[in-house]
Amino acid sequence: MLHIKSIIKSIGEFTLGPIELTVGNEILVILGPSGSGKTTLLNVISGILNMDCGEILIGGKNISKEPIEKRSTAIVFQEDTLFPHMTVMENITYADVGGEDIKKIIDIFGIGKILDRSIDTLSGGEKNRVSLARAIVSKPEVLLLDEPLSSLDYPIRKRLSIDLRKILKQIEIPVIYVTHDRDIAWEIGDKIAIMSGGKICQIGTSEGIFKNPKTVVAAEITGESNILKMVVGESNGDGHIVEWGPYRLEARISGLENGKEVRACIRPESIVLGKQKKGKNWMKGEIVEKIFKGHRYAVELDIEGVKDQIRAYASLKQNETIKLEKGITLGVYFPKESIQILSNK
Amino acid sequence: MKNKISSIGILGGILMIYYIAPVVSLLFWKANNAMIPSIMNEDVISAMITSVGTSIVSVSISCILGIPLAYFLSRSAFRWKNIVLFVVFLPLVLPPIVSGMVLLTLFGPGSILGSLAMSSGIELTQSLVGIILAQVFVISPFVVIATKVGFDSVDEKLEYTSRSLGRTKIETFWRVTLPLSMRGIIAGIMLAFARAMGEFGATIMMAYYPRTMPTQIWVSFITGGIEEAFPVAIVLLVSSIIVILLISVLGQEVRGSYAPY
Repeated sequence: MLHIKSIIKSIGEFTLGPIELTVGNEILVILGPSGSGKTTLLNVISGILNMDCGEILIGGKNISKEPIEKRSTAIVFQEDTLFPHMTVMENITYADVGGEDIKKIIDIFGIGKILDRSIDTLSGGEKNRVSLARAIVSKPEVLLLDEPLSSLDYPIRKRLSIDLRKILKQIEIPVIYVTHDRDIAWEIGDKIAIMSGGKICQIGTSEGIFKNPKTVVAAEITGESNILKMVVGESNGDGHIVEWGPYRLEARISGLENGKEVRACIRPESIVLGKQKKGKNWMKGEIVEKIFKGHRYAVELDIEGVKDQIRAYASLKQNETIKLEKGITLGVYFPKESIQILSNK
Repeated sequence: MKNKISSIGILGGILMIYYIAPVVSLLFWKANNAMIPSIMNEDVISAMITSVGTSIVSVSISCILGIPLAYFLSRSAFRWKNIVLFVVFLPLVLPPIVSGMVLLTLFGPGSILGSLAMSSGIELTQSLVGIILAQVFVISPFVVIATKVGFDSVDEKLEYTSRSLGRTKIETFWRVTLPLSMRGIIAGIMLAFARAMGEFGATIMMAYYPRTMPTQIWVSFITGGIEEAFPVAIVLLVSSIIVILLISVLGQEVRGSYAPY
């Protein structure tokens, strides 16, 4: 178990924290945009950077003041950090911890045939496998992964991320995986922590955060989103009315102050397109752009009476039945539960 | 593109010819059997032994003191770093004869250090110690600077990775940093050795005796002209080339299979 208690680290004008985090024997993905402090957090946990204050405990032991080599936190960086003057096998056994697990780990990563090769002859995917195997062979108590797959091409990254999750689940230690790639986060993580401006702003399951993001960053980094400024209206028993331009929309939200200006997130996939143009939560929209996305279409819509442009998705079948074309006007429906109010922080 | 490469090749070629031509000219200029007695002269052999011996000791001292300093300069960020670097460069910008003068003020017979050493029976000038003091002053910056470049070329993330795998700072230095910096270190050693073998200005100020090869060449030149100096110059040239080749081969051995580095 990894406990991070109130750690703060300032670098120039940037401040990481205060961070509170507990990671059990699970994979926690820290998802955040560039510059949000993800790598700084890993560097602090691993001891590469000294924190200004706070505590880090692994298995109940306070390691805050221990040097890197005494922390038992193997780190795998985004860049290739295999030792170029050693063979694959020499890299893997570098930690010199011994044990019979080495062969098993070599088998799991499928690198048995390249053990005698020098590092400069390996492909990007092979290098990643060796780096990860080397870290796991060192028997760390916490594994820190700093975007180790980001340099790979999409198909290899996809395949390796599936394998990696299986392997990480087997080792049963706290794993922190840092990335800005939501697909990888969904694929690998048991839990997701959203990081922004040096702070963790939301933590939960991938599905939970996607359906109910608390901040603009959480909404935008977990998927496409329409972020709209609305005003909270009166309560209507089942939720609140929210006003968006001339529209009074029913939303399944509670505990909000009447008249408060808020930002709401509506996912394009939860917006319904149809022929109906009037009714509760229905409005009229004109298609200004239609983009083919493989398994569906994304359509940009100008909504009558508001300045905002929104994005909605339409299935390939809908494209045929509604005849989605640039310039046509159609009905746009925001389901009650699709309107998520975001924190103003 | 091809034309550009040809032009670059021609310009580089001119410089290479300019390097090689004087050496070849020296080797073939009036080379004859009469030279052999001059080369086998006791003074020349003694000077050669002095030069090779003191150069090896001076390079070793420069490495022992210079490599840790290079590592410190490469890995630390502190306020006065540029001033420290300036100090390292100082012996390079001083004319060698001036280096000899400043060393004499510190180690000469009239100086505090010189007097203290003399009372302990150690002569800091006109001795092998004097030659080594002069050589270390002049050549150690080459070791520090080239080695620092070698350390700079090693990504610190490799060191962090090593330590996160449980290796201490010292183990990381020996197993990762040093092997990967070897190219810079060997370059520094080669430059320092070549400079030590050819060092004249500072050395002659600190120690006219025992004579190094450059001092012997100078003495031969002023007593017998170029005819006398010529065979000694060939000995210096050949012995320097042999030692530098040896360092290069040994360096390759040390680097072993780290071909890309």
